[in-house]
Amino acid sequence: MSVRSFLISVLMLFSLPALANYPDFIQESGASHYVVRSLGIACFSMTSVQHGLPCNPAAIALDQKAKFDSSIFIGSDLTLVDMVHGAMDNGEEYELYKKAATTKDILQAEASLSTTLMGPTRGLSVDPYRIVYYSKVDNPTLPFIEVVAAEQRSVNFQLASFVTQNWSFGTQFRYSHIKVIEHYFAATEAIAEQSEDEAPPWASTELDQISVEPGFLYQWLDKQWEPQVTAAVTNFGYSTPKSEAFPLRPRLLVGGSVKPWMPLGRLEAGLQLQGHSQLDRWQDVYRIAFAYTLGGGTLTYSYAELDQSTALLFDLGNLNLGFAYKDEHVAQSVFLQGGYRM
Amino acid sequence: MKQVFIYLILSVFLVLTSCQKQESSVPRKDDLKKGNQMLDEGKYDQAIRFFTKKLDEDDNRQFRLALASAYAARAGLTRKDFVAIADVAMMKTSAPEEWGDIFKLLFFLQGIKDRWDAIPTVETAAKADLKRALEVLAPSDEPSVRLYSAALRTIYIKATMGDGLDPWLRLNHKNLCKQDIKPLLKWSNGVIYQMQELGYDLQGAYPSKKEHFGKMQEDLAKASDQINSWNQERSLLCP
Repeated sequence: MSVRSFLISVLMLFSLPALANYPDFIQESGASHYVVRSLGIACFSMTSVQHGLPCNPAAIALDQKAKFDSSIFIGSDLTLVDMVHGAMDNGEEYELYKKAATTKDILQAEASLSTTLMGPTRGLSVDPYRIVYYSKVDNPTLPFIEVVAAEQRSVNFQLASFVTQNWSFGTQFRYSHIKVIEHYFAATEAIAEQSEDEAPPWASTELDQISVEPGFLYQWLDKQWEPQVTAAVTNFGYSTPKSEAFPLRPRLLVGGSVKPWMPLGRLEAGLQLQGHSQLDRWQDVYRIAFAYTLGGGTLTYSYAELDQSTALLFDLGNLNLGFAYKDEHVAQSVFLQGGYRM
Repeated sequence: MKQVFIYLILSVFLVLTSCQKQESSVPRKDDLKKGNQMLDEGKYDQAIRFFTKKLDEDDNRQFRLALASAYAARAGLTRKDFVAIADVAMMKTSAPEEWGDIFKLLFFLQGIKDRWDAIPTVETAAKADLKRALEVLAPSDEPSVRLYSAALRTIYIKATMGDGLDPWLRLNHKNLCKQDIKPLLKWSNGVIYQMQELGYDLQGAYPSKKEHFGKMQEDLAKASDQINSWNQERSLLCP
């Protein structure tokens, strides 16, 4: 297959009908850790910052040491996380909707617990608890609220192997059980008393999803800047029932990175391109990212047309602590992660 | 071999992508978002046409609410006005029990004034759009529709009161028989009618408080009867 026909095939994806997208963070490989949040999709093509299972399963072949990672991750508004928990488990949806309707146009929150066990060429990650929340208010007069609130439990297994010394490939298998509230409703529908024929706008759905996500990685180890190219397919699987917020709509990721020589520390610069059926703007196709590691600290920056994020991670022996700040023009979020590694 | 493998992956990817269902899993969401985006961009007339068509095709409370909101947006109302009306409903009108009667009365009167001041005001020209929004909401008995109708009607009543209150205050009581008070009576009955409709809206929005709002409608009916009887007495007194 020539490069030209490959590019034509990728471009075909962009001609498919598009719908409004939810933000990537809701689904993002079912993970909420620091690397995913700070580098975005560029984490699929960069290998110098690792935390938990790598985004690209082919990269797990590169690490020959056994590791154990455990982390807690909290993003954005803590009161919202508490409200989502209340809505999901205690039927306290009204407070959540009131907050969504009367505060900023866009609200988002995220929290997760994760444990990862990695050995040479394989890894297992268990995320027993992940909460995501996103709401957006439309209409200048009567608030119409788009809301996604979910509790997710996932198990990820990665398996990788080398084809040659430079080329590795791997696959991630994932099972997720998701309880999701996904609605679009007018504020009065939430505030008024419910009649028998007027269904409440907070019914939740339970989803079961399995996915298989292959990835490839080719490195030129003999070159000074150690360039590498990657390809991965994510969200390739089956969901019952189907969900718009967790659509399992396949996404192709192609990218690369280099590690330019630095007198101190280690720098990696990456470029990631993506294609999927809901992309309707060329600006959403790319993301660039940088990661600079010096001693036990890592500073990252990533940029896409609609958002940019900066993050700092400190490794303090077995403990680590990370901060990430994401600016999406219409909303700003702060993420905090604490972890333990052996 | 490598080429075959990559081609295979890409082919499966394309087939799966093209087979995906393209409609939203949330009913009517795509149409509602499309129309709401027009409103967010200030394209009120376009949004009114869009939601009118959608409501004709699918008589649903969400399209009804959206169409009414499009008229309200054209009337100049904002989301802040909606929140202001919710705040008015939450205001306290009863004073603490330990207060004396005169203070309780003053507290009540102050509460009425505060509520009145908090209700958003609209330009006279915008009343036509508000009325149109109320007409759009009228056919539905669903609580969420009635609640929005109550919110808009409250603003409409304040605008109507403003139109007719000044002539009442300028009325010369010394020459009452020489003055044409028909427009004032018409205005009074119009306001009372709207307030009765507000009671109907609130009964629909909160069925469990039907009795409470029913009492309010009875009081308004009495007020309407009093005005009409006063007019009859005036006819007898003024030959």
